[in-house]
Amino acid sequence: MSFRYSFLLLFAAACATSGSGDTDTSSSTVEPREFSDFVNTTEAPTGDLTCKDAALGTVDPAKQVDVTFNGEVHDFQLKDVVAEATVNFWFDDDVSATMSTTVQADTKGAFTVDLPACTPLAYESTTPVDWQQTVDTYEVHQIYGYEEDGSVDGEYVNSVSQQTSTLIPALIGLEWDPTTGIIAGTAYDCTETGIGNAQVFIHDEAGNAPPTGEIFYFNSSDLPTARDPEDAATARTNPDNGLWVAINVPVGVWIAEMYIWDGSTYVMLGSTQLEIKAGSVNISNIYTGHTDGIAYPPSCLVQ
Amino acid sequence: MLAALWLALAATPAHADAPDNWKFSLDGYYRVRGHAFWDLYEGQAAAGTYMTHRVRLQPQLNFEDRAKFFMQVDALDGAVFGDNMSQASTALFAGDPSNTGIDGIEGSAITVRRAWTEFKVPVGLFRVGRQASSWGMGLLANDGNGFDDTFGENKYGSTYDRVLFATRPITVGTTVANMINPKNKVQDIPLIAAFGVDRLVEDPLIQYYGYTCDPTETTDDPRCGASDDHGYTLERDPTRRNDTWWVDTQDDVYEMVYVLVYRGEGLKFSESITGDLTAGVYVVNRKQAETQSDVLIVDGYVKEAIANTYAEAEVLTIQGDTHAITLASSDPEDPLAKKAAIWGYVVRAGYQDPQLSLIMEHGYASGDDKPTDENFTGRPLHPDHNVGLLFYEEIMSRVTANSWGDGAKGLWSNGGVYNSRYIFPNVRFRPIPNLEVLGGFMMAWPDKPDGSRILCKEGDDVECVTYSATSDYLAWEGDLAVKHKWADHINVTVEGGFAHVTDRIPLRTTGLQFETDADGHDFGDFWTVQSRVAYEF
Repeated sequence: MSFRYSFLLLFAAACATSGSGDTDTSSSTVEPREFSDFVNTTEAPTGDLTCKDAALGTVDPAKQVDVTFNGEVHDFQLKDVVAEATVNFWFDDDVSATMSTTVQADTKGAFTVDLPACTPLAYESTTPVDWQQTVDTYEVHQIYGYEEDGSVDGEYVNSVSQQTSTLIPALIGLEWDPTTGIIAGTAYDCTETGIGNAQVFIHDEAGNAPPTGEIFYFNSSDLPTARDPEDAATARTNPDNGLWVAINVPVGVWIAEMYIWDGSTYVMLGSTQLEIKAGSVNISNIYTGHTDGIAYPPSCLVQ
Repeated sequence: MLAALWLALAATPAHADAPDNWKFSLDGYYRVRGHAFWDLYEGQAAAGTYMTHRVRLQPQLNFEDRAKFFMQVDALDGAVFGDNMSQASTALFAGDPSNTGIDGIEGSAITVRRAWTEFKVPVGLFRVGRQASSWGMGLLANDGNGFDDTFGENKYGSTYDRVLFATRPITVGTTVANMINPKNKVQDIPLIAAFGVDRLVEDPLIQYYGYTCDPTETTDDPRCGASDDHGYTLERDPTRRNDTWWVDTQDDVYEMVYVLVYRGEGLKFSESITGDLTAGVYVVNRKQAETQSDVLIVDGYVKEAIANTYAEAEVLTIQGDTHAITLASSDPEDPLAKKAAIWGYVVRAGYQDPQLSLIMEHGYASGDDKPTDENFTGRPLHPDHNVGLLFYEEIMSRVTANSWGDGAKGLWSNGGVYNSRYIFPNVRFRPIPNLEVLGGFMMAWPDKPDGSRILCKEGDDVECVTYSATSDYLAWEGDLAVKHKWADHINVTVEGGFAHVTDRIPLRTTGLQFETDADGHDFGDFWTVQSRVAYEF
């Protein structure tokens, strides 16, 4: 900024900006948002998209057996362990149903639980509200691969810190209404690398966009950015990471779809379905070629 | 700094043959401050109250005014009354109080905050050590000493590890001229020049890289080894510093300080009009090689107290380039490049006599509506420059802290004037010499709404994601105080304030109390009563 005024002018300006009254009581109507409000890029995508229409393979039922999961709770951003978090699992992948099991991590963030391999499931990681440490973090459509010895090691579940959940809206220039939720995800190509120049559209089962829930994309430094009208790159995924976030998404069930511009039309590469709960963060990645957000690892498929 | 330097330089230096003559003196105070807040947080059922201590001891060893040693020791600084660390396993049986601060963290009982020596040489004075820094009205450098605020309390204080030399260049010249020819009687001009060096960082504990490496991603950055894994910075454990941690000069942060100030006291403007006039400039050049930081701070100050008029103004700007702030922009070539362009000022003017003072104050702190772009334009005024009791001190400090979170503590306001301009007319009445009654009214307007800490309104000259606010201003606040001193040492203050905060401030999403008006817009009304009992010595 420049030093625009003399002292006296500044003084006068400060007094003048008080206006004639307390508040402007004019109200504004909110126009329903449409597909074109979310998807409008004409930039060619980056990444390997060759699997878009490929066969996904067949899950081998023999591999959908219980395994012992020796995992840790990790901070979503810093990857540090989160001590003494509670992890709730839904083996039917439905967080609105009855929870299947719950487990508490130890002081080193480690926990052990029996869960079904090669089966989509959902989890929630949480710490006591009084700790002001994390926000409730959901991740659905998680699939842990089949292991011959019946033990899954080296995997982790995510926990988003209150610090991260605060900082992301703060950097964008937005306040997070805690009666809504945040969705954070990555737009993945066939090699599970972030796609560049993709855009995400969120809607309900009837195809209606939520009244709130702006989508933002991360820059090459992995920081979320507000949309800049003079920089169209801020309105689509960055080729370096494919990261996106939706803030203030109303409570309910939503479908997140990933689109690219193929030179003549918009093409949906993949989608996922998720349920938003108030004050929570839902980590939802979208995979190319998967319209349900469920990507089985090769160890689960019929060979 | 200015007043202390002036006193030091004004003292007679000729004691070469005097006998060894040490003098010890002890200044300081003990104070208790009580706070009560009504409806501060959402869901708060009753008035929240707490009381805190502070002991401040400032011993001084003085050898004939030629060489002095100073210390400042703080004890129980900010410790909340009571045992708040369950030293007694059953709270009901609590006895010994803890040293828990209002942040809930146990503090140290005693802290040596400052220690420095000051000695005279034939043409000036050196001051060396960990010392207070204060300039002008304290918008940038504020020593946080004493009870000098109209309302509220000093909580922080600027302290630097500094080597400083001060001199009165014209006095030196006139002394020499008068020695050569005593008949000349060359008049002195009270001008002080000072030059100092501050060592701000020898080695940052948080290691700066300025580039990122991720072993799970392919990169063609030649700086990244196969197993290197770090962001722009990496937190380190202090035990993992090697023996040569202090050798690297690339990560050192230092600044050069230049001061030039005229201080005319008892100036005679006419037969009946006398007064004081002070004007000066404080220039700081802060540098760090590894972050390519080269920042220039210029802070000008002027004050007059002539007859019963009073005017005082300070304006500061911070300009320069840096890569030290790791809020990366979208620039793929140089994401950490930031250009600082920060401004702030305060102007006061009015009437004052021994019984009554009527002061109009206006101030400004530039904001930043896009913290991740390449322009770094926001910085609050010093948190010990208090403007009222509630809006800046309590509400905005909590809003910025809750909005930025622990990950960006450097961007909290801590109670300083933040991203706004304000007016603050205030009156002080002394019916008897040891009793003061003060009243003030504060109103604040936004500078650059950012959508998170100050919400945007249609028509604002900024690009925002949403424009949910409707008010032109941020808040208004009324404050009252009664200050009484007796028995020479006892200082008692009772202060109260009410603030009305508009829908410019995100009270709802930062956990503060809010109400909703008939049009669906949030606002907040906040009350406080605070008190201070101090023994000054």
